[in-house]
Amino acid sequence: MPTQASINAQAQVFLSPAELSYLHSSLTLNPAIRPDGRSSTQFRPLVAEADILSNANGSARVCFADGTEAVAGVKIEVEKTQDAWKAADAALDVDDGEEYEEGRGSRRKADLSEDVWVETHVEIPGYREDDALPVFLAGILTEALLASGELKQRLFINRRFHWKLYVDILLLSQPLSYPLPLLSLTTHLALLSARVPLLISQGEEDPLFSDDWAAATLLYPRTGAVAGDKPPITLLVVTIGENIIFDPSKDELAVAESVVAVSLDEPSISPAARSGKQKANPQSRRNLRLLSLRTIDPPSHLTSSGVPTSLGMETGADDFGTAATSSEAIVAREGLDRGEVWSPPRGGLKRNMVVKIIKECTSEEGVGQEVIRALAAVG
Amino acid sequence: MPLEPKISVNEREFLLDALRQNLRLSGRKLDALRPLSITFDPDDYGVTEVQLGKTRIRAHTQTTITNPPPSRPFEGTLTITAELSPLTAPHFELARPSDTEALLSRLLEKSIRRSGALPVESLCLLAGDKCFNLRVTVHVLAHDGGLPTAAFVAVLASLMTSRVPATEVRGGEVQVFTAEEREGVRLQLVHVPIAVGVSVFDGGAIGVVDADGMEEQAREGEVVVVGNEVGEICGVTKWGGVDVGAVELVGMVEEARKQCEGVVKWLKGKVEEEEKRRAKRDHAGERSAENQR
Amino acid sequence: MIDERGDRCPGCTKWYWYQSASHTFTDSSRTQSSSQHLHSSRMPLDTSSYTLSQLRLDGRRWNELRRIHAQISTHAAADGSSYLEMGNTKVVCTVTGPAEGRRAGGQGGGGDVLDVRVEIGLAGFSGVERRRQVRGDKRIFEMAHTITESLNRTLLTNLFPRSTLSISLHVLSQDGSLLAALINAATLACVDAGVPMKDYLVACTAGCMSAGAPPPPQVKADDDGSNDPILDLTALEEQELPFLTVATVGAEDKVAALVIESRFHAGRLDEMLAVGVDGCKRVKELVDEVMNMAPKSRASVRRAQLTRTITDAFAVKLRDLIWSRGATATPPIRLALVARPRVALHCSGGIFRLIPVPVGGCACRALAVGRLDARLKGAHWQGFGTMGSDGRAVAIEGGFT
Repeated sequence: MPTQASINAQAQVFLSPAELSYLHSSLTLNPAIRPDGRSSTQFRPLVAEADILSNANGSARVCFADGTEAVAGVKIEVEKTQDAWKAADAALDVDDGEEYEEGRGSRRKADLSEDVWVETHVEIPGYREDDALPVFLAGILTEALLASGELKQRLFINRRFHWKLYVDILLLSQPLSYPLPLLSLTTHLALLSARVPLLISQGEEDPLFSDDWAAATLLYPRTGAVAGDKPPITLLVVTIGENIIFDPSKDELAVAESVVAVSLDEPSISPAARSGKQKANPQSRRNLRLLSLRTIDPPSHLTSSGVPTSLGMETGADDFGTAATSSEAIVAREGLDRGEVWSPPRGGLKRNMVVKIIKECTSEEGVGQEVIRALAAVG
Repeated sequence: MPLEPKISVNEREFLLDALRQNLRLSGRKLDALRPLSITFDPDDYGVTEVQLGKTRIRAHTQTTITNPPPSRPFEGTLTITAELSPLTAPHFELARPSDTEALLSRLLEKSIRRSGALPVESLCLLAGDKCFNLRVTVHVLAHDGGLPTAAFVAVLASLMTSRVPATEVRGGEVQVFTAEEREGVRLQLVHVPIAVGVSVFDGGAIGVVDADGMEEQAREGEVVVVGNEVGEICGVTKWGGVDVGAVELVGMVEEARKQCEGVVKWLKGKVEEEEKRRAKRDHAGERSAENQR
Repeated sequence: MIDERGDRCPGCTKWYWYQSASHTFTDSSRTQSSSQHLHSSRMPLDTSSYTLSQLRLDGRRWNELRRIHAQISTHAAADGSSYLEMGNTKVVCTVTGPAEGRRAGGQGGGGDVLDVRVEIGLAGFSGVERRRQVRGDKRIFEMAHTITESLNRTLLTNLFPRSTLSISLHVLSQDGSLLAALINAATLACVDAGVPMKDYLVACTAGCMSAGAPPPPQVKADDDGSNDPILDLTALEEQELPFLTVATVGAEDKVAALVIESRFHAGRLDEMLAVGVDGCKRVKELVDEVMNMAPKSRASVRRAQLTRTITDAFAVKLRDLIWSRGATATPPIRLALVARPRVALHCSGGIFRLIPVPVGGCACRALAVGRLDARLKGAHWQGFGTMGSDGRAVAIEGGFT
């Protein structure tokens, strides 16, 4: 999955080939030895608070250990549904006001809701809003939000009106490392704390809402009929050798062989499952659902290889010429074994690594669950 | 990129020395405006050229009919834009709007629009459907200080002499008459805001009205006061600069505001003169047409 | 406007009802004891001497500031940072620099003084309705310009030639007095960044209940409050009433910036300005409180120690260096010790800036910025030495043009 944006712009690597090589070799050990002594699935401490702004429906602030910080605000506004023909179409299908009943109704909601109801914007200091990086980041985050389709159904009011969800994310500091996980966790928290005013009108009436803010309902309810599902999170995972490393620091990104952004969410308990197991506890741990997986161009691609002085630039060229056999020439050309201190990774991700990543992220005792639990404690 | 030529240290010192003795290089008093003059385009409405010392500014009002903004269905729109081009001075570039230009535009727009000098409701033709859009363009032809004063005089004179086409609303349809069919309608201004700048020298001790280009370069701060003919303040801006004592500042504002009143009086006289001249000429035209028959 | 969710504030346990000094035109019965302070709950207002009609929509009296809550050093990644709330107006400020100019070549960051750059970002969720900031918004530009121009005269910009100070302000929530809040936040962050300044630049807004001509003095006696000036306006009040934003330098009546965008009778100006300047004095006290209460992080204490060591030793070192270049007399060396990480060292027309950079834990690099005396023009010199009791290694280098 090739991506347009890369980490390179903001994460220049100022490490020498020797340092890179040292980092790389200690991270390929089993178990990996990380520069800050964490285990491979351990996160750095972060500061998070939710519901910090009174002007927004939901808001959150997250501070990562490296000093990067983001604030997200969620605004939810009523908007007239543009697609009149769709609404008219639906009106032909349905005779009376009972169209939103369970089962048949929820399918209809899914048909009528649209992707444009969710809008995400990312602001990064020093970047224009139409620069590749903010647009790309906003794209990944929106994609994750829309993936399950449950969020947009929740924005449905009636056939003529819907909620429009705006997620604005502000990066307050310079993007020191790749800001995607930071932005994603901030969005997650903001959405968890987002409230919508209580609807007091019914059916196809013009929507009317309760003035009582205390009666407002959570966009992601924690109790009740639809409790259970949570907004998605996007984690950054790095592979080095056979190791999978979560929450990579800047140094670790610099030697990463591949960087993968994994979007996950916790699916709501399906009605069938609920009816089957009446006392299904929503707090029990469940497997997470994988929403998307995309590789991101790691900054390590741009590091220059360290060539020993005995194999300087001029002799390096000779390697190709003096190769005895064609296989040796390929080895030389591909830089697989050139006796270098450090050779920048070529990228690519082995299939078994993908499986491993998904398992690590989604299993019920996995990292994804851990992060979601931790964030739920913040709100 | 050409840079603005800066005055030398000697010039600056000399100027400041003179100011400390209540003298200005131009021989003006500290609280005197430079002579203002205004010319109206004889053939067109709403085109004016104002000269303040060596500063020259041309303003032009254009009227179009558009849809009103959905948030304000009962109002027309008035936009004022200032342009400083290489024509003014080589260090103003067309591609990159300078700070001077942005600040002048902002000053004009906020002081004229927010003070409600032109009731935008009067520009509404058909609520929520049709309205007049007035667009005043300000071209700075020569810049030698005192831009706000000259620009305000030019814009207000342009608005006072411009005409919007006569219209008639019949059954939800707007009929617009050309100038030949029916004479255009003059705009009714509620009040006339004019800006006068006081430049601050010598750590806030000296205030000088209507600084010229050289004084503007040497000054340490500026207070731009927008006042009208009925003793109101329509805006004051002191964008930082050297700090001035509160009491002195109130004095400076009052001083400038009085100057504004004088300018408004002068401007109103000039506009009346011009309208009379036009009426006389148009009248003469009609008479001659009758004579030919 | 009492916001239904306004009384919860992260990181703060206090409620303040602030009140500026009484202004001259009012009877003394209205003057309340200043700065009452309560914990965790909304304070019941003492309305005995005050009829309900004379309270403002959010329950304040005419001369009360909203609750101001501020913090400095909120962002680890910036050189200086602050978070400020004035009621429901919330802003974050981060400062980078003074550092080498961003633009390459002779332009930008050049010149003989510090180049102050201000950027303002309005968050889409900051207002009542969601709105994206338009690029090149003139209102925002004017605010940034006002802050730049005011700081230019308040910061000691001559100490940092060829350097840039980037101030970036983020508006998280807007509820009136936006420009004032931005100015206050910028001041706090500049102090946090250790940029030397004459005094605090503080700002607030003042308005008036009526825009008409003030009544003659004898009518004052049966004043019903409709002619009162008011302090620190909310967004709702800003929409309805004429108001001004005033910024002063320190607690004196020195006005650095004044912005009026509404129409009112000229006779109203002096009382509004008086109330505004009084409000600024109160804000200044609060800013002082914030600075005193700011927790000293271990890093900042360590930096302060390091700074002191360097300052003592470096003065001697530098004098030696200049001597060795053949200067005929000891140049006057003035050390300006700046609040936090940096040391500014003024030396006979040349400005040196020391940045203690912990390289490998013990070495510090001193960066010289600026020109030395004409005698040393064009010189390039370097020196190394150990200084301080703990024998830290310090490299001193300077390149002059």
